[in-house]
Amino acid sequence: MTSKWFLKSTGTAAALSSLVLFLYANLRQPTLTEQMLPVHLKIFELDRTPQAHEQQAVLAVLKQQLGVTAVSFSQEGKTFSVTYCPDKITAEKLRAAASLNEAFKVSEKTFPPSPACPVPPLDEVKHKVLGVLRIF
Amino acid sequence: MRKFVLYFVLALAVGMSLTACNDDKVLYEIDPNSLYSRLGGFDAISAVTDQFLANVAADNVINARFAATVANPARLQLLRNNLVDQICEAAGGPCRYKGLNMRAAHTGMNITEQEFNALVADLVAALNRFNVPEKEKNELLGILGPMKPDIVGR
Ligand code: HEM
Repeated sequence: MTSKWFLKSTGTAAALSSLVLFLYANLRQPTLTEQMLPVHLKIFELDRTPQAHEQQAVLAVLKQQLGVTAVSFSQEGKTFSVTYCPDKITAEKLRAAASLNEAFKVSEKTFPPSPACPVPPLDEVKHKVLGVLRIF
Repeated sequence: MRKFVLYFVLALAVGMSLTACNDDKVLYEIDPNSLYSRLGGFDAISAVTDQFLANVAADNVINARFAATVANPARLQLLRNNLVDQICEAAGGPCRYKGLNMRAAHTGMNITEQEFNALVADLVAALNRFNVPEKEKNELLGILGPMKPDIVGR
């Protein structure tokens, strides 16, 4: 009798705790960083080094695009990067805008595979799970 | 009695779950003289961080280090959130950094002094881009600079 009661009450308590935690995960106020719009980052390369005025023109046209949050050129000037909200603009549109009506060929920069890149896989999985849990 | 125990456990579970995972320091008053406030608050810090990330990505001295991060949006998101939280918290803002400590995050990378300086220059360029005054810039760099021994040569 006592062990049955014990099992029943711990089972109920565990179920209720899980429910409360589930509700909490969905109802809690997201942190300030979680409320930021997600951004993507692309690194592009021009087919030739732009002159100063051309670089300014590429910068200006990219900054005008809705959803672009930052643009940066490398010191040598052929490489540039863009952070943007993927909900508002695509990488393809950015590439087309940066080409200044085909004055440049713009391609995505590729890197040789590097062995020294420790991934924090647990963190990535944790954030994916938390993202799925936030269904409301 | 049994009902009481059940209600007690339920109340405890609710109480614990509502207090245990308070991710931001929401209850904490932000000092208007803090570096966080003087930098312009959360939105200014997140804008500087995006510019900083873009500068790093365009910097051919170090961008290959971040190739895998840039190629993976979830990983990029994590790094961006961690950087924003780290700067925001260090500046006295209401955020909580939840990432790895600097030594753990950079061990195995064998980062050189030249790479460290390049990254700091990218941060300074981002701060300059938003016209952050010299005093606030130096304060922020004064907080991040001492992390160097945990980052370089590990
Ligand atoms: C004051 C200087 C620096 C600060 C404040 C800093 C901060 C951080 C933070 C907060 C993380 C995320 C940790 C986590 O995942 O939990 C990180 C990861 C990383 N850092 Fe740094 N870092 C600095 C310097 C550098 C330098 C000089 C390099 C290389 C040139 C570098 C390369 C990386 C890489 C490759 C990652 C992993 C990114 C990923 O997870 O995909 N860091 N750093």
